[in-house]
Amino acid sequence: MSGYKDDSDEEMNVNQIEKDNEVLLDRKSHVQMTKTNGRLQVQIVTPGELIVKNASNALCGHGTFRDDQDQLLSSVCGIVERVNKLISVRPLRARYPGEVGDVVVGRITEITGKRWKVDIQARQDAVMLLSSVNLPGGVQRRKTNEDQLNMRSVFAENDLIVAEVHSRPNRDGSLQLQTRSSRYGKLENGVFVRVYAALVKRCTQHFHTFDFGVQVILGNNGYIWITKKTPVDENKQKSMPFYTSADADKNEAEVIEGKDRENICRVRNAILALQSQFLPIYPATILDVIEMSKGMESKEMTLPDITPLITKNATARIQKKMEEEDMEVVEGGY
Amino acid sequence: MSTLVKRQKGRLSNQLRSIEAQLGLLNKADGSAKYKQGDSSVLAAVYGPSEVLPKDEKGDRASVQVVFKRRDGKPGRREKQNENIIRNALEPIIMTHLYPRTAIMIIVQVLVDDGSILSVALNACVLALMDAGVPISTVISSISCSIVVDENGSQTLLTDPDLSEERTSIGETYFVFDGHVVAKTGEGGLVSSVTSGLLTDSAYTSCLTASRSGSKSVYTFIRETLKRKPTTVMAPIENIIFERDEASSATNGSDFKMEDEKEESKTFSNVFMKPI
Amino acid sequence: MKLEASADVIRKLHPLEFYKRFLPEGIRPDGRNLNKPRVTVISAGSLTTAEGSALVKLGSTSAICGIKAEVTIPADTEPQCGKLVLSVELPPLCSPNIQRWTDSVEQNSSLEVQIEDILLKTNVLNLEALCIKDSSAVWVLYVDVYILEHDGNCFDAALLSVLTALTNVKLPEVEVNEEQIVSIVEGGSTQSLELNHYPIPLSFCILDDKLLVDPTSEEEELSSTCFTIVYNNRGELCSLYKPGGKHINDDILEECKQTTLNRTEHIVKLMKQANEAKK
Repeated sequence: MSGYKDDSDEEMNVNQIEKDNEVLLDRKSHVQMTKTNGRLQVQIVTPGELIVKNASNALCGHGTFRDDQDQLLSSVCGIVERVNKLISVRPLRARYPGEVGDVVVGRITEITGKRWKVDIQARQDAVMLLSSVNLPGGVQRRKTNEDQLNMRSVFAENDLIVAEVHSRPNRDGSLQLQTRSSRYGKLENGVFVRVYAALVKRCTQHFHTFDFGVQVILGNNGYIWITKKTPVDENKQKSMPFYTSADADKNEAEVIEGKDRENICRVRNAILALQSQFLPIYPATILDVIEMSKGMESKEMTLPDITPLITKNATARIQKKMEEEDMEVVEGGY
Repeated sequence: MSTLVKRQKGRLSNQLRSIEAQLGLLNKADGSAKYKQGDSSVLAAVYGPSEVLPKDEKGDRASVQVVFKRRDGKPGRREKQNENIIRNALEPIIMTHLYPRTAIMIIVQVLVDDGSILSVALNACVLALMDAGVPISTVISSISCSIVVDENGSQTLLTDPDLSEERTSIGETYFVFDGHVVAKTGEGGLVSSVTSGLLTDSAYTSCLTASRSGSKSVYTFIRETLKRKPTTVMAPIENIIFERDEASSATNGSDFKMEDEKEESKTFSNVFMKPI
Repeated sequence: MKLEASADVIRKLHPLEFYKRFLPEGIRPDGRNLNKPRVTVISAGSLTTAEGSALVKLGSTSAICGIKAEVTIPADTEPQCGKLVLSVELPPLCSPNIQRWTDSVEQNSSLEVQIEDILLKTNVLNLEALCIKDSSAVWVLYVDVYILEHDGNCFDAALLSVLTALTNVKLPEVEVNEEQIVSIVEGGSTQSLELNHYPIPLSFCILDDKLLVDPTSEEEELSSTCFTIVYNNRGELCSLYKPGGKHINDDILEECKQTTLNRTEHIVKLMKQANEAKK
């Protein structure tokens, strides 16, 4: 363990709490882990559980509170995160909170005066203003009344879109989305999967393409889109800013069959298997599961006795990753 | 004097029924839980913190509202009283100061009433609150106890009574305990107590002690349910057998006594824990 | 210019701080010790239009109970039992927190269910005594409780008023003729009701970790938990009602049970004196 400690960290003693129950901090992801019986596990706490005994120096973040004896207790069920002195608990099951810059997949629920309402598995539907989308033609111009009436030709109700979280919430807490890039826009001809928002970690890239011809969009909000890999046409990209409803009507949907369909199915089942074991979902873990399930049919992948088997490699990868991380032993637990 | 007796369905008098829970059933609700103890089952949903009606608005904290609905019959004052009891137990543990001028609505729908329904409802509400991610300061759990009299006039204590046992009881008690306090010190931690019928002092104390032990099992179950990795399929994972605490300390040498049974097996309850 | 805050101002702005000055000294703002209930005043038979009535005052909290008796057909399941219909109301006049009748619906229901459970489930009253003629006519008692002033601890006042009113109910002698018409016998005797036992309540609250007996409404609002214990004159526990709030230890519970038990005799005596005085 590297010895990153300064004087103010004095309250964090390097103590073994209860036999094998050490508490460690993964410095990269700032998540606290426990080492029980030699296995590293993310530390999940429930309300009222003790996080730190002496919390006079610590800052109480979300999901924590200080009691009369100056101990830091958790107030929600979740994972303990610690950044220097700020200790917070991130709830496992809460709805998607939303961060600026996140890539999300959503479904249009409503079209009202100059805005679309989008369901993104958050507490409230997100809002996408007419001014936040690029209109066909690519050109930036002031939106006219005609544009407002033609909103349905851009995105209609029940369309699936991929967008980016634009700015912090409105007064009532709803997020704002934008599709001002060619990467964003309407989605079609693929498979939609819903998982817990907490399982999709933030990475640099949210649009991934696998070697076997499957493209996947991992929305930070837990909505995932799987489709066949489309050949990237540079010229096409420039002329058509992004895919809209009108474009969808014009083009005939390409029929996906055979091997592609099978691969898309595998990816979907791999994701569901990861969710059932509550493992983080990103390309490496999806590949791990697919590797391990090569021998079986894709429909068998979701059976309850199979999922632990095929996710074994993924679990091992997470373990290894956690162990390789820079760990620091902290005081905590009971 | 009475010992541990075998009840109608083969349970021992201090044995809880099997517990099951399912979380996150409802899409629109922020949190939901379906909780079953034996055949009694309740569905609880939590909405909030969200918009509050101006007349219920509190300037410095969230307003907690409970709705208790039975399967049949018009909602009357018993339902209002149940709402009152549940709200009184939950409001102090919810960190309402974090969400001023909002409302946290807890809806309780009784699916099947086979006894101890208020306890089942409260446990379901606690699970639903945790599923919703509403910050609470501790986990509370509830157990009911009934006193029945047999032909000889001797009293027996039955934990977690079912409907037929409740109907023939002479006294009923409902308790809610603070899980952490009970886990740490093994005593105290009484959050709620509602009794009906005539009880002797020793009967009440025995009920209190027996319920406290029972609440530990429920508390452990609640915590494990939330810590456990959620699986999408219901399957019994394992038989969880809890240590039974000796309730002999409750005896006052009067007419009511629970016998020590160090010789017999110490299983408190066989609880099938099913994940969400 | 120095701004001096008077005691009243501190009381309004920082009520908890105000109480914290008193409690360590073992005394409350109204001069009582922490474990002293307020003076209980019971007056019986004040309402001449009702068959039975009582007025109970606990300090400023007052509750009045009126019982009217009517004749009705008994339920099929219990042809020999009379009925008791209880209604408790906290009208807007009793407290500044209640501005409309609808504000107190939950409190009303709670008090009704509590008192009804005590009366019926512990057999305070023999409902068979209310039978006039098996399967055809029984008395139904409409018990109405109004809280005239709410300064904390309405339950105690309400329950005591119901008990006292029940003890001075005078039912006229009636007869049933062939056409099933019930008429009052001229010059007949009056029937009193015998109570099997007297459930006597006492309420407590915990404020700043100190136990207070018979809290006022101000103390109730500041407290971390409130609960009521009801013992009868035979030493049996009729009710222990603690709906929620901060948890308490067993020893505090024992202390409160003992305090309640010690008080039952005194209150039963007061009730009997009130009834005597009416005569």
